[in-house]
Amino acid sequence: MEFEQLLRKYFDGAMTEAELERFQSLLENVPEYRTELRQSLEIRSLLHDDALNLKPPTDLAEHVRIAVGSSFEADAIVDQAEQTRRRPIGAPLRISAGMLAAACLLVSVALSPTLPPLASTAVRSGAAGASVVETAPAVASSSRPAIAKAAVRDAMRRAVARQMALQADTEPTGGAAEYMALLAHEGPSRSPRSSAAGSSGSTNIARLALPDMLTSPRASGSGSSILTRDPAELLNRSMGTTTAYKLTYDSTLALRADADIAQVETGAQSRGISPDRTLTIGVTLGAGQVAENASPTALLQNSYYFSFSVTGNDRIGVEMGASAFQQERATTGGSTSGGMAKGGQGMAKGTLGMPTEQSVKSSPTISTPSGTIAPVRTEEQQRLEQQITYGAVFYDRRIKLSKSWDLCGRLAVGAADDALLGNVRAYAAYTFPSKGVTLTMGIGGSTLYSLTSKATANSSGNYGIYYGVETGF
Amino acid sequence: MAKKSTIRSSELSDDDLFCLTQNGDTEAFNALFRRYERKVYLYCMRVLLDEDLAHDAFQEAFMRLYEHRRSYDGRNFMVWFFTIVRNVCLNMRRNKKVTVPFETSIANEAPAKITDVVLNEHIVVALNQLPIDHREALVLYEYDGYSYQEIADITGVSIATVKIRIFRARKLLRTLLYPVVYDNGV
Repeated sequence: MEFEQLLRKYFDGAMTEAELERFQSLLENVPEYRTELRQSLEIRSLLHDDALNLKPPTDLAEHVRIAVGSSFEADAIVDQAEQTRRRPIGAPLRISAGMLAAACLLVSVALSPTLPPLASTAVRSGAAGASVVETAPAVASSSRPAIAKAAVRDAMRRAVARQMALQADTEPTGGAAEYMALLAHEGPSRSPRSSAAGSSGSTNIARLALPDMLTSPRASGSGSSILTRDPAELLNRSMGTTTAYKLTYDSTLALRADADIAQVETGAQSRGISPDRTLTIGVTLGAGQVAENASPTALLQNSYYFSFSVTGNDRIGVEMGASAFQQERATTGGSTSGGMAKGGQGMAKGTLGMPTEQSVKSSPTISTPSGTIAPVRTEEQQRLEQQITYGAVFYDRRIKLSKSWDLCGRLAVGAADDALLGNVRAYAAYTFPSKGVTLTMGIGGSTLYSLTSKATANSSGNYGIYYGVETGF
Repeated sequence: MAKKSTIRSSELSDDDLFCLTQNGDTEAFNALFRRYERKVYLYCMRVLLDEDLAHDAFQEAFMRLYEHRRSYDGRNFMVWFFTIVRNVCLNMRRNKKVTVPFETSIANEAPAKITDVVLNEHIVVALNQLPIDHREALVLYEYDGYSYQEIADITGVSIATVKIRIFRARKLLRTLLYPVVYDNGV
């Protein structure tokens, strides 16, 4: 084992003085080692002689050199011409698409309608037991949760106070009187915004006052039958919430009322489209098939978008992304170019990573006689791997199916490299109960219309499955 | 229309030459081709151990050089190109394509001595018995003259692995080749 290591180092030329001495002493003392070294050196010499005898055939080397060299040269010329042709068209198109997207976004924001008010109601019980529905002051919509929260809290507080006043036989005393005085002082015309600002203080006073009143002899006496009309329940029913909000009048009323108010608020907010977001950002991945190719060709797409909610159900936004796909093309060329026709066409930005797989119909082996090189015309079917980047503006329509599920449709128009883009997508969206994240999955199709390609077919299409995730606020 | 490089090609690195080639400089490509034709040929011949396949692989490797030109990142042309050559050879070896014999390859060569032909056959038979990764490392080291580090970069394994493979290949080759070559007096 030691000799093997030393022999390896000897061949590598990486021996130290000490190792060399050791190696020499082993060779002197062990004849088998000397034989092994001699044989190894002879075999190595044999391999080097073999390497010297192997030379590429002259005609083969010349043929390959000329063919590949001319391909590089031709490619450089085509590239130069392509760049010259693309420059005046590509840049204005991209700028126009960006400006169009920005303009659409601005116009939509400017024309977005006023959001409808939230009709918060409370039930006032009349002296004869008849219920009178009182509409709370018009407050903000579900898109303004803070204001809506204040309105609900205010309405509920009033309903509870009126119940207590009735229970007190129209002669409020003690804590109830204090509480009514507080409501009278705040007045019905108090704006929702100021209510929202002072809501925490009012709640604290209510917490102090209610137990005082409820523990008074009058409150717990025969007149308590009025209390069977549960104001919280009536309020919830009038607001259309389905959750059972039981409010019982006992010593922990204040704490329970607060909890129930919170639930009512949650219920009010959840009545809107889920998720209730003004701005949304999302990412989508897609996989599918290029439409015009006869054989299956993969399509991969990724896109990023952000959108603005015009109404609860309609969104507009901008989307940008990239698609990688394969495109089949038949070309005729000489054998000197060996099936190396230029990759990329019109809308293609360039080849991706390792380039295309080609199915060359002609024999791949060069069979020309030595001397002159005669190009042989061959018919080739190429499968070009291409990539485009695109930008688009889209309109998105949502139809609510359930609390968590939405059915959506999206229509997008935009531009890619020297091409116009149209995209249609239908997808389902599932929103998690936390409402933070939405998962999407659906189907869609795109079409590209090349503005620069000289090929007979200027348009191409694809379709596939898309899935993604979005969030917003 | 061919561009001519004003700098002597021998002064330029492989990377510079390939960049010039991509811009249509045929002189740069010719210089690059001369640097690599022999190494690529040796590799193809001694890894594939089949002359027709090796000739096909030789052509295919340079064609792939052109086709893959966009994926070159401007660094270490040798490793990048030999990775292509290696993939071509491994694919051909796997597929064992049926090819039209290259009829002019042997006809144009000077007639070989009988002993050279026999020796060549013995080497081919012995190399054929080596595992492909050992054979590949040995060919890159002994035939093409690449360093351990360069072989590790091309094959994607560690230097230690390359050293072990070459040493084992040498040892196995000695066992296989020495008795038939030297004991039979070839």
